[in-house]
Amino acid sequence: MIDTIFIEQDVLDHERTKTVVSKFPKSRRIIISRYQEVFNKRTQNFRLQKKQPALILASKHKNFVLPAPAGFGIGTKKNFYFSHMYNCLYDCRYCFLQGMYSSANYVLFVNYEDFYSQIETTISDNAKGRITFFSGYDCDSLAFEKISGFLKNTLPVFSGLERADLELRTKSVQLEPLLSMEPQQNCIVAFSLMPEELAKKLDNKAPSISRRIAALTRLAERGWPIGLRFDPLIYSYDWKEKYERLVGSLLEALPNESIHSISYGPLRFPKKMYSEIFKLYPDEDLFSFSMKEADGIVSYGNGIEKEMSDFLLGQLSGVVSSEKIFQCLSQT
Amino acid sequence: MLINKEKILGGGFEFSICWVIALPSEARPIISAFKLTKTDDEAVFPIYKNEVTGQLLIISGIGQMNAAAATSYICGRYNVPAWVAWINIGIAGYAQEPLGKLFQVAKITDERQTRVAYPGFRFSKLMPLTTLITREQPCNDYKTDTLYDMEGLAFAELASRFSCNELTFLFKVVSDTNAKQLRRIKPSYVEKLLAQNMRTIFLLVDEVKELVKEEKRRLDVSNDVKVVLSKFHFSASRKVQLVQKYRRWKTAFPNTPFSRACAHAKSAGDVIHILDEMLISAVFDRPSS
Ligand code: SF4
Repeated sequence: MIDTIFIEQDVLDHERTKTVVSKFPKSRRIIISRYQEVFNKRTQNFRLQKKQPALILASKHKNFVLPAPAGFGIGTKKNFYFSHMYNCLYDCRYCFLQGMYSSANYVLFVNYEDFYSQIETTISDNAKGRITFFSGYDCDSLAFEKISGFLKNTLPVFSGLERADLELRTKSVQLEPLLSMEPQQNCIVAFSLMPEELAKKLDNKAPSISRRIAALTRLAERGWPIGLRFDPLIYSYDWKEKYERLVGSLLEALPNESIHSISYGPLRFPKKMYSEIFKLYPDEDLFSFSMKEADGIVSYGNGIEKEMSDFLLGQLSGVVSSEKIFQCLSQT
Repeated sequence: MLINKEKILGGGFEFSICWVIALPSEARPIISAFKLTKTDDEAVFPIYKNEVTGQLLIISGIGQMNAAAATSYICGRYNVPAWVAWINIGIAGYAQEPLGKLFQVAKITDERQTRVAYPGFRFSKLMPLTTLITREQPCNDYKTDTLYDMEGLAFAELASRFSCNELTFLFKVVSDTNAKQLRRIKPSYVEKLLAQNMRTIFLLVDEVKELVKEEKRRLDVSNDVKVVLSKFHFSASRKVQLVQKYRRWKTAFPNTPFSRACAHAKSAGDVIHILDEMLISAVFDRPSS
């Protein structure tokens, strides 16, 4: 599946590099000095590259842990994110990564330990209250696990952290190492969800919604705290019926107590990002709707956003405690 | 004047591939396999084309300066659109035999490694990938696992600006592995090395054309839009609006003829207004869409 691996000279001898590379014995390895020389080239074509991304193995030098954008969170006041990887196996049409990066190649930072020490520093710098760390901001937290082994290494780190929660954001049904580990109550496995009909059109290469529901049911049975993420909410023909069916099947499949949190958020893009994504996929049905632009943000507009949020809350009300429900208003 | 004349010719031409090749002997197998014919003799560089298959070929001469000049020249002369694939193919030195082995280049640097390019959608199923060093002078102290040529880097840097990295390709055939072989290189030998790889080159061209088709669909302006642009005056910003709104409209209403939708338009503003009005009812995932 990966035919070419670009490897930074400095991580050539890193144990993790060797492990990852050994999983692609037929791939061509090409030495580079820094990942940016491949990843940030301006003349790249994200859409064509997405057909066959290469893997870049690199070392991250700074910004291991960053404050989450305002409006992003699931209950704690202090929210941070980290990105051990850029880009994703899936190809969701609304994904902000395609408007943010000029390259569709996967970058995997192999120096996980530097992330861990920065996470610990962040906790000690924020001495009071709980902190949530979000993984899966610039990638899917689980989809690349078989290759990266990131969670296998990261979960034990979090098991010792009393004031910190970790959110894994995913669409993957690849459930290792979660199924073979004891569940951790400070690790929330959060699935991004939308009605099946819409996911079929938009969540390219990602598992279907029914497979995602089956996966989160298994995780719930094992005792992992589950997050449900309706983010972005997609406006479409008959959207109420579609969301009603989706919420219905989720609530039927999941015991209420397994739900750690539910968050929802509108589809919003910074203007420049929207225009980049539209340029890549000008014939995408999702973009035929007349989005509104205000203060540099392209969105469905307040009216539709509110109608959709209210409808979703109505579906959940009386079933899921409102304390577990959060609106996510960040735009990427 | 000549440039204008060719731009007009280029206007009716369904471009798909521009070949930039250093030597006539490297070009001959391509010219013959793809049935390219020589264009006018007044051009600064020899240019060949096949209007049916949309291929242009320019013979640049040796060296980066020539490669850059020829790439720019043909792009300007034919007003080559952004979805066209650019291919540089030719011989290269390599430390290991077999001679005649075809590679795709995935990374190119100059000798001091101050410039670097990563061209091409990779066709690793058709041929191995490798790296290339572009030198200013011929020499034969080849390191293992890297090809050596004299044009590749400049070509890649320029061609990728005219289209994109993924549509810029370098394919190299190993011609020599030591000084003795380098001295013995003759045009007939070069021709033979290229000719013996034509089967793979045909497959490559088919694959490249698929990518070009996809990019053309993404970037080309529809005839509907061209007709409207020729009929009414659109300012530069309105033209951009028209192109975008038309794409969205066509996606939402694929079965409505544009001429019918705009039948009563009397100005550029009317066209934009009609599109806006219709787009109000466009909604994602309609049963008919
Ligand atoms: S799963 Fe998330 S990160 Fe991956 S393509 Fe989809 S939206 Fe982007």
